[in-house]
Amino acid sequence: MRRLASLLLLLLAAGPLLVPERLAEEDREAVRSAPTGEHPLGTDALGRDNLYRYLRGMRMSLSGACAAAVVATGIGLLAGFLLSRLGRAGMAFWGPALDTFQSMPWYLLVFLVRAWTPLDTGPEQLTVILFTMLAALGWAPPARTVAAACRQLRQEPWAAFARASGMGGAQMFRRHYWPHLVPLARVHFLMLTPAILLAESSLGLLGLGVPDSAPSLGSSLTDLLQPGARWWEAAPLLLLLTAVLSLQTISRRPTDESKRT
Amino acid sequence: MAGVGSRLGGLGPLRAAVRVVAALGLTAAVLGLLLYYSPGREYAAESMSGFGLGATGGATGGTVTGPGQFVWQYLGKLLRGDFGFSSTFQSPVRTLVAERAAATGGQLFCAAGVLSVAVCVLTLAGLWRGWLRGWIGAAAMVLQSVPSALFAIPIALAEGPPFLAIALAALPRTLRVLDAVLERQQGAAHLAWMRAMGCGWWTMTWHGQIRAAGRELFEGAASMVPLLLGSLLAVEIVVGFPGLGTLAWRGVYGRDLPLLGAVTLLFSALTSLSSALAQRER
Repeated sequence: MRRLASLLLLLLAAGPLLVPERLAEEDREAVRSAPTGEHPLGTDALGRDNLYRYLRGMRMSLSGACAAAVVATGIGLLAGFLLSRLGRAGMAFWGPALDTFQSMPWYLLVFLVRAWTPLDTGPEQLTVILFTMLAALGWAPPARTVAAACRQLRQEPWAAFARASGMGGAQMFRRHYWPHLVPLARVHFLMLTPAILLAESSLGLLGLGVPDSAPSLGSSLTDLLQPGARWWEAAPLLLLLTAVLSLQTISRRPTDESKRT
Repeated sequence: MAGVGSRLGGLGPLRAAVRVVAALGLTAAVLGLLLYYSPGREYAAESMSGFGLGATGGATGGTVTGPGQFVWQYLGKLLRGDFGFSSTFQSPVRTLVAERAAATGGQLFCAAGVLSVAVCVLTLAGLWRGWLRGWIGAAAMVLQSVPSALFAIPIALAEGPPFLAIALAALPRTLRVLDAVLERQQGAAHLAWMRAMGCGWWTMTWHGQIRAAGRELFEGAASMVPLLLGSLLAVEIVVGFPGLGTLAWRGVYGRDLPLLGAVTLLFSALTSLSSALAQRER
């Protein structure tokens, strides 16, 4: 099941490469057309092929979400490791500070940043700002988990032995802590990616995500909000469901599946 | 309030209050900084009575020299209830938010009611028959992968009330959280003991599972408030309901930072309060 999910994700990421190049062009003869042999999912109001547009949007959103999840997990790892080195007094301050950060209304913070962005900001810059914002909002849960894991690892007998043998902080991290933290980081990455993908889609649906000139899954989903939307225009939703469910399947532990079978 | 206080449990009412105030302070400080570095800061500052920008802003006459001082003055204004003037609606922000908050609050209240009934029915159905629980769990997992705003489309087409879409959008996650809480109860020793004593299904479900997990269920429900608020924003915008969500959305397009700031502070208060309620003793 996990292999199938990985294969599906690869297909989604490589989607635009699998369709003919001619579909990238606008077809003014077929504006808002129904599915035909030439355009399998019809065209939009500008005569652009829907299949190509949706697949390009999917790849863009997926790569943006993955990049944002990598950044958020990286910041979380670093912050978690630093937090674990704080004493009781430090944690008494930073623990509630993390809680406070996590309880902020992220939707409205993104709204605020969008309103604050200058009007002459280009679509590429807006895309980078959006995914950076989503990454900046997602680092707190990994930081909390990593801090707890590092504190626990430091109390293990082998850690005390390594310290007593004269191992320095950097060497301890690289040789002993890092192998334990990699699976944690992997889980957080796999949980953050669908969350960011969904957040981008939601913001795109509200017209506050990636601009239409740089197609994304969110902007493709807005086709469903147009009056007289047609059933084949629900294809981006199917792509989103496939991506999110595949990521959830991959993030599930192998033991979960064996337990179910 | 005594009930709420006791529910705060290990966190304690005082620490919970400090946390809510800290969250509001942090949000207000972020707002102040965004306002200071925004192109429309002169207008935003002017819209609050007696708020000058001085040398750096060059707008109204010389009291503020840097971002720290600006944020400090902004916090002072907010504490006095001065949220500024909305350039989009040409009306005081305080009045606007108060008007729309009533409409949004009504929708939120109805959504919470519908959500509670739906969750109770589906959870009880899942506890009654194992196969139903599996199907409900699978459906919740799929529906959880759908953006909240899309739930509003069928409701808008059927001209139904927005609270139905809000409840529908929050239902899958709520079901999964509460299901996880009840699953932890499944292997509890007291349930095996009750079964051995010959207790019926209802007694075991009510006393053995739901009442035993009462506090955890309450905490799970409280942690759903931010989700409900997020869904509310998206649904209101898609349906076009004149509430706080639409107000904030129009504020984005009008670059109305004082208006957005007031809505953000209100939502921040609600989310941090629900987060404090959901905290367990650590």
